Amino acid sequence: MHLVATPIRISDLLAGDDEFKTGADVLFLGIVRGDSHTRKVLYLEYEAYEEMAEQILSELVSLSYEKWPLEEVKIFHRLGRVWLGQIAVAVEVKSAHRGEAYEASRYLIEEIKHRVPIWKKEYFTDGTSEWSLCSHVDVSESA
Amino acid sequence: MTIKLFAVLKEIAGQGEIHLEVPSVISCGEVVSRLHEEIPSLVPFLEHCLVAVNGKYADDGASVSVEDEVAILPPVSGG
Repeated sequence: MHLVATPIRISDLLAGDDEFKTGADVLFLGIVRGDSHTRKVLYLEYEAYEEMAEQILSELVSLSYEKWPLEEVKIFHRLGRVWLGQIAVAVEVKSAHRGEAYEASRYLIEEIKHRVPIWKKEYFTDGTSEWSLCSHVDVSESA
Repeated sequence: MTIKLFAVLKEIAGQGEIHLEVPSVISCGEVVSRLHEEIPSLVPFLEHCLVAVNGKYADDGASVSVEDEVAILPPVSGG
């Protein structure tokens, strides 16, 4: 399962590699920031089309193993309320060398942001809230 | 046919699923047109949305039947 309703902890990540094949471990964390354009954020709430999101995330992990020689890939994305400073998304890629780990990490987070059916609602300190309308997937490329 | 709605669409419709009476086979574009008629307040948002059929993105011309799981997806904003 990639979608989680409870806080993502660093202890869920950065596990050792018993076979010592890993030479590079790239960890990307998306953190809830305190400003959105000019507005002050209090917290976010994430919602997903869970079955489809899990399916696409699994496909992205498989695709990354096909594209690069990786040792391990982990993706976690929060659902529900996420407070300032908390981790909203974590992508960890282990490989023998840094090049493929950096490339796969960048690929995965960009695909997550553009293709995975997850939505963020921003709650502001002034009491207002708004669905964030960020990205469009290109249907012709999503098959 | 049951249509799943998410995020801003769910909030405006006041429900995460809506039932539409449709022909046994219909295109995704026609499903969206039926939603226009059923819930006019969704219209400003629907033009930015995509349709998923059984968990896969589908284009407007794709056919769906009443057994398919159809979802209307606003622009995603994960990460």
